[in-house]
Amino acid sequence: MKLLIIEDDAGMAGFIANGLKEHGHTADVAADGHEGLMLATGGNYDVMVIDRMLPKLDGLTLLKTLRESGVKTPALFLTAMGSLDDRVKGLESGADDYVVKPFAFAELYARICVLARRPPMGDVATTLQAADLEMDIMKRTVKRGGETIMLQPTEFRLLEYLMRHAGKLVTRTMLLEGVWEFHFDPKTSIVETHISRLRSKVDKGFSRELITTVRGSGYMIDAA
Amino acid sequence: MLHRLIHTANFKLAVLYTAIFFASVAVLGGVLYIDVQQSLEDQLKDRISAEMEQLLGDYRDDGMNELRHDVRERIEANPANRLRYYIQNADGRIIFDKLAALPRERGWHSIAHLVLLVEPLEDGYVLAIGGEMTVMQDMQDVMLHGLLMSFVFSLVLGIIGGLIVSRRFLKRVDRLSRTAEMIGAGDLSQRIVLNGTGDDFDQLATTINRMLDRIEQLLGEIQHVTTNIAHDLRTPLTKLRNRLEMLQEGNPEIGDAIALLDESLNTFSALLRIAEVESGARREGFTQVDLSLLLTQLADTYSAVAEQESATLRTNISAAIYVNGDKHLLTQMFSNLIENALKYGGKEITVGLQQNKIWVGDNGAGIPESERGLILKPFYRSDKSRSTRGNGLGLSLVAAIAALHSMKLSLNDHKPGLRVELDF
Repeated sequence: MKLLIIEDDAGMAGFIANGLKEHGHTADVAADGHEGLMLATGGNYDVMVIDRMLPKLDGLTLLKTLRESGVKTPALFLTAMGSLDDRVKGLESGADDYVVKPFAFAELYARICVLARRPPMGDVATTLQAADLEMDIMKRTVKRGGETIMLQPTEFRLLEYLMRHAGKLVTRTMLLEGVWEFHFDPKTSIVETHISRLRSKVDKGFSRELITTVRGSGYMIDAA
Repeated sequence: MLHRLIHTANFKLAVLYTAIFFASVAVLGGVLYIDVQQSLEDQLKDRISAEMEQLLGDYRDDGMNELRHDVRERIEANPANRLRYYIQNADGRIIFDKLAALPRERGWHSIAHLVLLVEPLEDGYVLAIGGEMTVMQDMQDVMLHGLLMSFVFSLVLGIIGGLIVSRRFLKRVDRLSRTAEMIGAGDLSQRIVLNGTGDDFDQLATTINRMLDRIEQLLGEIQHVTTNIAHDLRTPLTKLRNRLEMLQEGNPEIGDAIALLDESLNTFSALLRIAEVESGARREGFTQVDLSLLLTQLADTYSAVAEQESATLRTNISAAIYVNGDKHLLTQMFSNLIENALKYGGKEITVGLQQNKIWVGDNGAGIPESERGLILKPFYRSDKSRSTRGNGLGLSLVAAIAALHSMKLSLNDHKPGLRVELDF
């Protein structure tokens, strides 16, 4: 992957760039809004990580300008502005995801990976596949190896989210936001509980476990 | 509406004015009445005196016979509107007009409806001329009638005028209170519209608007400071977290440090979230939220958690109940309430929704009545909950979100346990 990091804090930018390099990706860093705009317009990046508060040109205006000029590169806002209103404004300006500082690198990385090869908008599949697991979103049915699995509505939504991101790490926060629409940190183990229930239905009795736990980071369902 | 109109200061003022008007009409009428009566009486007396003088002149020149002749002439000349004439001889017999008895002293007398001027003559004769006062009685009636009519008129006019004035007044008061309510609800950009007449109301509105400008400016500064703190504090903390993360590899103690850091950051975020909710700014993004669906999904989510903690979660949720609100915040509020019930409440949780009421109940130890007010305050933690993890901000956030949605939050006895109710 080739990434663009637009962040005025050199330490922060370095931390992200190093982390990405460790995972075998390359990253360019722009230290202000103008430089960011130039690089983003010219270079062919897979994902952009943009700070909201930037010198010369703020992140919100920067992204709006890019979107208006037809740059569709997936963008993720990285910001210290964490209110619900800030999040809404960020997403409205054309961002695809929003991460509030401070963050764990694993969280940021997982979200970048999800954005990197996001299917183009409008192309919504009605069936999902992960190894021998099949899901029909219209008929609300799930089959593994031809055998029907009965799921509760919450379990269905959870499995759908995992299968949409099959082969990629999804973090606990991503699940809370994507499945439950929780933009806060619940005090009980909602995700763990529901993953374990889902496992007992999807993986129990099969020799191969499709849903795996990535210790300290999140979960993943095998793609094939 | 009428009740409100009558209770306005302006209507009361109008009534007071009417009463004062009343009183002045009464005084004016009284004075006028006495004055007119006096002048009528004076006129009558002047006429009588003039007549007396003329008759006495004739009597002195030509004697009693001429006097009698004169009187007869006058009675015959003008039978309708005439004065009364009496001549009494020494025996007490009265000639001409009828009268029981005649006072003998010279001067003015008043007998029944008559004003009488008495003049003793020679040889025991007495001459008296009288005037009827019935004219004056008629005049009195007319005046009283007039006064009464003007009373009724001024009363009706006063009330109608009062109602009109107080309606105008109420309209402006309503406009003012609507604006104040919108500002109270968090829309600080609202200002009171001026009439442009520069009247008392406009002056008051201008003063209030100036005050609002100042408040808005101060709140804006606070918001700005808060945002700056958030940014300035978060950036170094983020760097700290990044460093710790890089050093973490194989060192569990650093993992603990990160967990501690995250906990303080959570408290910080919770405080900022409460501030955001209390500012009322989220109200702008309100949409129709399907409460029935939201609570059903949350109950579904948490019944799994409850099961794992060998508790049960029951629901009593009516269908198709909607509320105008912020879905994210409502989700967070109900989630907080259900999680509190799971953590402190006991083994049986109920989640209910009916028209205008939501409740979350448990069968735990409950909260003593003395603590119920305190528990909604930030950072308050009861002795029981002190040992468990948490920052003591959950219920404060619940209270703030409830207030944002104009929901009345109350903590009640669930017998046993706690029952949190939200009326909307």
